[in-house]
Amino acid sequence: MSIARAERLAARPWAARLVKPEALTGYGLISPAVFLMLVLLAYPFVLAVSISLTDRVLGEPGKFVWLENFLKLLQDSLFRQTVWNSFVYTISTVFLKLVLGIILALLLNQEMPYRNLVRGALLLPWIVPTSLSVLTWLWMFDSLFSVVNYILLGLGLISKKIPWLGDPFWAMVSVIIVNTWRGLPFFAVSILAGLMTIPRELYEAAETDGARAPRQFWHITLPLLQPVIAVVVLFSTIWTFADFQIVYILTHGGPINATQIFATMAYDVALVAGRIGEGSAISLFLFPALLVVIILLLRYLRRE
Amino acid sequence: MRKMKQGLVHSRGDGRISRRAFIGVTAGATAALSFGTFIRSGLGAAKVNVLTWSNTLRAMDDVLREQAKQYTKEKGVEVSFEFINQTDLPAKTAAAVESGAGPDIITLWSDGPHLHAKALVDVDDVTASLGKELKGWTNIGKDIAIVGKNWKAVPWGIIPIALTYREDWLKEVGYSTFPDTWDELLAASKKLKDKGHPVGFSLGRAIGDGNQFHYPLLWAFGGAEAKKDGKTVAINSPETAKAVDYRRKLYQAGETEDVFAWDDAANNRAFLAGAVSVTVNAASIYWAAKKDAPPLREVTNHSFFPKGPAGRFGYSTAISLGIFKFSKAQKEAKAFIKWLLEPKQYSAWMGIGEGMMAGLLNYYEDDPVWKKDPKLEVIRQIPKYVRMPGYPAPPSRPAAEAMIKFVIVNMFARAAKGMATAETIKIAEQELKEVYGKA
Amino acid sequence: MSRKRFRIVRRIFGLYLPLAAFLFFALFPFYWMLISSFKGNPELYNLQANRLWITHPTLEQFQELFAKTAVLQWLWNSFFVSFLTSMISMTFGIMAGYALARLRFPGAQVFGLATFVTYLVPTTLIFIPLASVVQYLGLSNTIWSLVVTYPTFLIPFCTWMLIAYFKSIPRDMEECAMIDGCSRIGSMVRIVLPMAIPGIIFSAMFSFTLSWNEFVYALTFISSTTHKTMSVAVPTELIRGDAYFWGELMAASLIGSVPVALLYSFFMDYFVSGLTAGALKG
Repeated sequence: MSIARAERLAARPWAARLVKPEALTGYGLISPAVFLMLVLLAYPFVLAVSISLTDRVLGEPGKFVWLENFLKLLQDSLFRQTVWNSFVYTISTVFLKLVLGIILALLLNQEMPYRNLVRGALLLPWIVPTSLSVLTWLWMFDSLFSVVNYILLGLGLISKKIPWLGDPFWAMVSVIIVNTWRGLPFFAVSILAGLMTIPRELYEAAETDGARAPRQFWHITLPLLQPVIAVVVLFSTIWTFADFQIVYILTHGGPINATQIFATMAYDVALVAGRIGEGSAISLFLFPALLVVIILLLRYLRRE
Repeated sequence: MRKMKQGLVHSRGDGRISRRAFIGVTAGATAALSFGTFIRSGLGAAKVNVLTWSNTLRAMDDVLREQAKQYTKEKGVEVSFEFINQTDLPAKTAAAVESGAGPDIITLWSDGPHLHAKALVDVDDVTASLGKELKGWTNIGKDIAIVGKNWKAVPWGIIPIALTYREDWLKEVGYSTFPDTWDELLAASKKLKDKGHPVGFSLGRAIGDGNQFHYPLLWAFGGAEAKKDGKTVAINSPETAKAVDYRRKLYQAGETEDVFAWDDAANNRAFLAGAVSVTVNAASIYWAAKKDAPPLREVTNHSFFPKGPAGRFGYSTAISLGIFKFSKAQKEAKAFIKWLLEPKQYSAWMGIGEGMMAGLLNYYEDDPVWKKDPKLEVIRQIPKYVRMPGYPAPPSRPAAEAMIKFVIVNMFARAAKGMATAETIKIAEQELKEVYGKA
Repeated sequence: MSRKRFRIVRRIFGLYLPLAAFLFFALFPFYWMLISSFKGNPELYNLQANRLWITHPTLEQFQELFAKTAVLQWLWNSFFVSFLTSMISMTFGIMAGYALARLRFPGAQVFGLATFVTYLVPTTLIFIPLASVVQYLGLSNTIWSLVVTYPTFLIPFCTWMLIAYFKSIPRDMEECAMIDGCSRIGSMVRIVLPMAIPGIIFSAMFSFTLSWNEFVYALTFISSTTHKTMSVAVPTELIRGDAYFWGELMAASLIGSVPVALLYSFFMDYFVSGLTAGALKG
């Protein structure tokens, strides 16, 4: 429809000067996406931002307080702990996923029997709904019936059971393990895809120059993987900072707030205590910083 | 269009935002809106939707489903129950309050009527007529549901929380009755642990059991998080210090170290598996044992919380039914709630639970269910001792927030992990001041 | 001879052993899910029993599940929503992706950036205002509330993914077609789309997975048992009060996991090749 219209417009010289048909086609093509995202994403988002600038509680009118919520949060001891936890959680999981992901991708890039089956199996943690798989982990970390402890004790690797979700330190370890478990396939497969685009000739040339595997890895593989790694790390960082379900199901932020992260604290403050102004501020706290990072990354990628 | 604007103003509250909201929606959603009206116009007669929690005992929910069907048949008003697990209930409630859409009747947790008062219809007429017919409301019922002068919800019941213990193991270490004071419990738990039967009271993220054990402990030693005005933080007191010291000793002497990992379900499993001798819980353990472990049920009994210097206390979750202001079936909803709480229906429901749920109308203190089993006598009396978080002040938003942030539980948990008493109280005080400072 | 042995050893330590470790890590939870769902309660909660094996296999958890819950309905809902939303998102994604990859018009860059920025929007927060919008649309507590909202986080992904894909397809063929009298849209449908099929399948699969997985929107917009999707129904309906019925929960999780696993086993080739060809070239 928009095409016919564009062509009609193009027939008239004054219109052609104003809007090119190509542009009209373009607008026509993006309009459904734009419409949907304006109504169901941008608009609620703007509302959420405006809520974060008020002192509203659930179901009641609030007053506009500018950045007071954000400033108060900086003073809040629990929030400071939450920031720290979130960084520990995000940095360690992203690091683990990256290192293990590269190793796994290198393994999967080799010739082997049943390669697709193996690849598919390794993808499972990532494709199964989080709410279901994390429940399984909750059951595996059960204080009494933990099968993880059962195995470790059975193998003689530990002498007494590990309080997985019960100890502040181990609880953090647990959520990190589960996040790594779930996110690793995404890293591995993406990096594998990157590996597959590296031309064989480069390695052959290096081989003739006498470069061994580790050197090849540092001088060919890694540099060429850089854009892929940048994108994957960025996505994962954003997702992990916003992660909710894993922590919510496993520890609900405990024990003693040891695993309280942005999303779980925002949930408790906004929904359970009903302070949605402050809760919105918590979940938007990192938005400006992440926005800057994402724009920088996009520019870097465009230059590549 | 006009209707939509009103809807927005109503739900946003703040005039400034709503105007912007209005422009935003108009720009984008006119077409979609007409589609929406089209769908809505299909709805005819009043229908009452009730959103409630999935009871631990599925049988109790089955009774509700049956009763809804029966009501529809008798009165011609369609009623349906939707069940959801309790941890996700706050999200649903919040979304309903904010968007002005959702169930007609909502199940509110203890302090819920206070937190959501502005979104709820006054139900004084329902509570007045029920009170008149059924010997009046218990104090705890009034505490949770009266906000200011009005009843904001109809108290539905309380889940009496008692100490559940193994009679056989207590006998083994020389107790024919359960220790009556906290100090005696400490001595008993040491003996129990030495025999390989530690006690266990959740110090983890168990929003139910953790809080239900530790508020009464604090109160029994005379401590309180705030003064009676509900504004002044009063946690830093010698009484609190005594309670904290006690908690550390209890953990070290007689408790399993699993308690830090316990969610609300874990102690049930631990008790049923014979891993602990005393724990804090609703009658659900006793109930579960009926099917899965009958011999265990024989040696399981219930007790009040022990007495402390300041007396005997308890904290149990009470639930109430509120009607949202946006509901188009308020009259029908009120009639249904009234019907649901009448003896014929209520006794049937409560009876199936066998102590899982107690009524908040005085009439139900003499319900036949309590005569079924002598071990339920304690459960019957539990509500007498119950106070709500925030005590001695009435339930409030800060008190609720302190609870969901586990301020009190964490104070005790840090002490059990070895932190000095003064230090852990100081942290709790700081957290409470942040919470109460916002009120 | 010794060289051959060296190669075998290297293969074992350099490939099979580490791969086995990864496989164990990835798959053990599913094994645990599987055996837990075929155990009866007495065996499940017995501290003395061998936890890694089933001594008395039973179907009672499944029977309980099918008799007392609407598990098949949930499964169908999940499938219906995921299928429809991935189709919608893919269609809109193809349109937008093609426009951004091939056409020049003012605002294109801004739109491109905007799709990227949407990843930053936290769903745990946005569902509250969104619930109001859903209510104005009259879609509360219907499956359509999910069908319209899921594309908001799927379209950006599909668009972004397909831009890269379309860019990798040479312009010449398209231009030839256009010179031969084909319209812009005609050439897109006839020339570009067939060449982009791996990328399209990949993004459809990806969208399907994300929809199947979604939790927060489905939790807040849907109340009725009969409209719930699998990922929400299992935790909200099967965790009762303060008790987790692990046998049933694991059985239901298993049922909720199998369909997506099957989907991937059929389309694995497309998945990897789609990813290689498009997604990550930026």
